[in-house]
Amino acid sequence: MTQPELLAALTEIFRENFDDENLVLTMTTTASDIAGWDSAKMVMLVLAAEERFDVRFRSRDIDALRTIGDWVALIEAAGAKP
Amino acid sequence: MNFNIARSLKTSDSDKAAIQPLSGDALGGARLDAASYLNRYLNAPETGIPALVHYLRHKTFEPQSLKLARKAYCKDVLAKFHSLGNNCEFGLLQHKYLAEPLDLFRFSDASAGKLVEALKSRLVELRKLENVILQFDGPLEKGVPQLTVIVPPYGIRFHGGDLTLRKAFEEVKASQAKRLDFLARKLFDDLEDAERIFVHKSDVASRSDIEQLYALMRSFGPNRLLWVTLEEPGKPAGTVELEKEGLMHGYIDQFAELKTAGDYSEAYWLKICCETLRIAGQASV
Repeated sequence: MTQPELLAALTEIFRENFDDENLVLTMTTTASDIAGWDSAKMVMLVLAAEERFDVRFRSRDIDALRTIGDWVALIEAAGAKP
Repeated sequence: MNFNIARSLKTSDSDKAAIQPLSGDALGGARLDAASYLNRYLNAPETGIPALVHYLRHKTFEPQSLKLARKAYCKDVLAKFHSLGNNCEFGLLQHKYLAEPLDLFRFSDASAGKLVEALKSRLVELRKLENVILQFDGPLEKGVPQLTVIVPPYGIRFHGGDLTLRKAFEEVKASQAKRLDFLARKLFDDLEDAERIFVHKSDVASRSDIEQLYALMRSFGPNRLLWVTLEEPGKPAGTVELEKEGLMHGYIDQFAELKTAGDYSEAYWLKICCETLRIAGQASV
């Protein structure tokens, strides 16, 4: 998957989890840009991403996620399946 | 919290130079001598009369840039620790500084004894849906009811976050079970990686439980455990001792109760963490 495709797929996941159809993600979006993105929500987002892309993230990689760009890079590196 | 600060302000070295600029770090070169700096400036008021009073007492306002650097520094320090309970005290301190690691026991009442039993069984019982019980008796937080998740085989209670009223009971339970399973998996990752320092506090000191916990953790890798207990004669709050390779013992002036976990001894926790990192050779603080 290309980076724009990954970003689009992540946007779907985030919209579903935050119950907000208008949510827009960019490569620089961080947790502080989205209301309600706390640690509990983060767990659900990671699980949803792992399921969607059929990948498994390591703990240290999850802890290092800061921006949506980091998410895209991590999923790409993990060999995401469409 | 203020009495700790007030007590700290009486210390003789609190007026010494508190800022030691170093280069090449994430804070744009600003590094702080954490112990003396935190003793003096923690909870410093920002504006209004309190700020004026602060100025009259200390002859300085804390510059905003320095305040941001201090917060970033504290976040960086606290993120290096993996909380093993017990209670939410340390997790709430991490939360205050926006360090939000996804750690299984961060918001739980796991004692060292319970942790030993849970880890001995590799958390198998915790990862079964049928062992997850939901209780809707948590305190209100910002007007939102809180959920408690109980895993009876280990007798451990977890904070389950906001209660989502729009979801069916079974859906909430499945979601919580999934969450626990994920966090358990992540805990094993951390134990295998042995990078972060695990921290456990116990107001009723049980050396035997801690020794067992330490041994279990070391069976995964070269893990480090910081065990924090109440101060003793000759071991004042803020002291950290290296008991043996990977096992550090910190002393604090007081613990927060389960129901008032937010009333933590902030300055001493931060001092203990900084000292632990220094002993572990992980930071130039």
